[in-house]
Amino acid sequence: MSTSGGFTVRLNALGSYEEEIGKLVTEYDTIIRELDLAALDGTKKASLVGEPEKLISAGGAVEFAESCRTLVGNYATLIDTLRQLHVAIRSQFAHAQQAIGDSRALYAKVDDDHALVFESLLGDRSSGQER
Amino acid sequence: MAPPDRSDTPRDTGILEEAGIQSDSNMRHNAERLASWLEFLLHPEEHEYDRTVIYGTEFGGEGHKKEEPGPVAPSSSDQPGTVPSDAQLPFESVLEGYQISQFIHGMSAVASPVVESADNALAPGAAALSNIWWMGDKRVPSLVDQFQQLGWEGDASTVTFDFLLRLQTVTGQVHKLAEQLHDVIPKYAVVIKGVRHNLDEAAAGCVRAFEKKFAEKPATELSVDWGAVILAGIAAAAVTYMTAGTALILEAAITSAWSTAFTDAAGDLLKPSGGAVSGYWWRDLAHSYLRKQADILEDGKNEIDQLNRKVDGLIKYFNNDQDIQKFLADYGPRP
Repeated sequence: MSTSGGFTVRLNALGSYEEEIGKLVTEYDTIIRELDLAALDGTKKASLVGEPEKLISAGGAVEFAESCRTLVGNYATLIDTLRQLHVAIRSQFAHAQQAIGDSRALYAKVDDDHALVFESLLGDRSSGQER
Repeated sequence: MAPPDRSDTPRDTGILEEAGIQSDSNMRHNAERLASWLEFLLHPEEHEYDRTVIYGTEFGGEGHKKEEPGPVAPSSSDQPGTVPSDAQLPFESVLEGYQISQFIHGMSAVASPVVESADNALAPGAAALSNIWWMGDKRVPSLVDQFQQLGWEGDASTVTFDFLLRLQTVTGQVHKLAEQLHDVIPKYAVVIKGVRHNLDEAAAGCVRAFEKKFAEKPATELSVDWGAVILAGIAAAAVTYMTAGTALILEAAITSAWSTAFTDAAGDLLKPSGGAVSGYWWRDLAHSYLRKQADILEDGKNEIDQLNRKVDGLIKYFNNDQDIQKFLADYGPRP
């Protein structure tokens, strides 16, 4: 554990947490790919709704299909919106992962620099021993 | 029983293809049987069986019509010695004015949608929504809880925690949306399945009624029952088919997740009921069947409309949620 002037940090724990967020980012990648697959283009929408108007242009069957078409269209809109949102969420978690990684590196550097200073102060005696 | 001198397949199957009732459709068998009977009934000129005979036109009268089990010869007493032995009174179909397309119009609305097989276009969305729900309900809150166990203190820790809390708020809000939208998808598929089932059963019931009418010529109104399922209440049913909850559904598991969700939904939501095709005259039976077809479609439409109102409400929820909208404004795609 490193403690210095108002902060406390456990570098190993922070490293594990950074990895955990990385896993989360990967999970969001999966969700985004699934939302890509869920996007409904014209062909996919057509695969979900019948076309009774080809047989008779009006009537209960046509009204039923129109309701289906409206529902599928609104669902597709919502899926598109959710995709945009999750791309943003994913990018922010990736940003958090990067920032925590950077912070961890800086903390580690402070610790290393600090150690180096004292190693230098002890350097003559240790160097002598090695020679 | 097929009509006399005919099979269970209509002579012209083009109308079924035009309706989108392909050979692999579960409704195809009964659609063919019904179409074959309708071909028979609509073309009395091709056989010597049931027809509507037009009486009283021989002397310029307007005539009156009556169903008969076969051709009717003119009365020889009207014009003695002038009636050929093969003469018969004018006639028309017992279903004159009807078309086969009217009887399979309902089926054409639900024949082509691909919703029951696991590789349908809805399955990836169902998996994604299940995962979005899991992220907001379990995964992200757990991650935020872990942060507090890190033993990290200081200004950097504080702002990082605030940042994560904001992400948790957004994922929490969207998780509520995903939970409701996820239910809509299998319910849509179940409504389609239910309408299919009822139309198929009604067609089978109509064929049985036709068979009975033809073979037995009952002296009173006949009625044939068929097994329906209740469509009303599917959209409003308080059920959740969230297949996740313990782990992420990966792409490879999308189809199996859909099969589970759809099977569960269909099992829970499609409750047996009953229907009947009834009437005395051929036209009564046809009208009874067409009335049932209209009712089935109307019930199905009501459920779809309810689902659509829910989706419409979720779109409004999404557009009006300040946390989501601020997040999108800050970090979403630039116009």
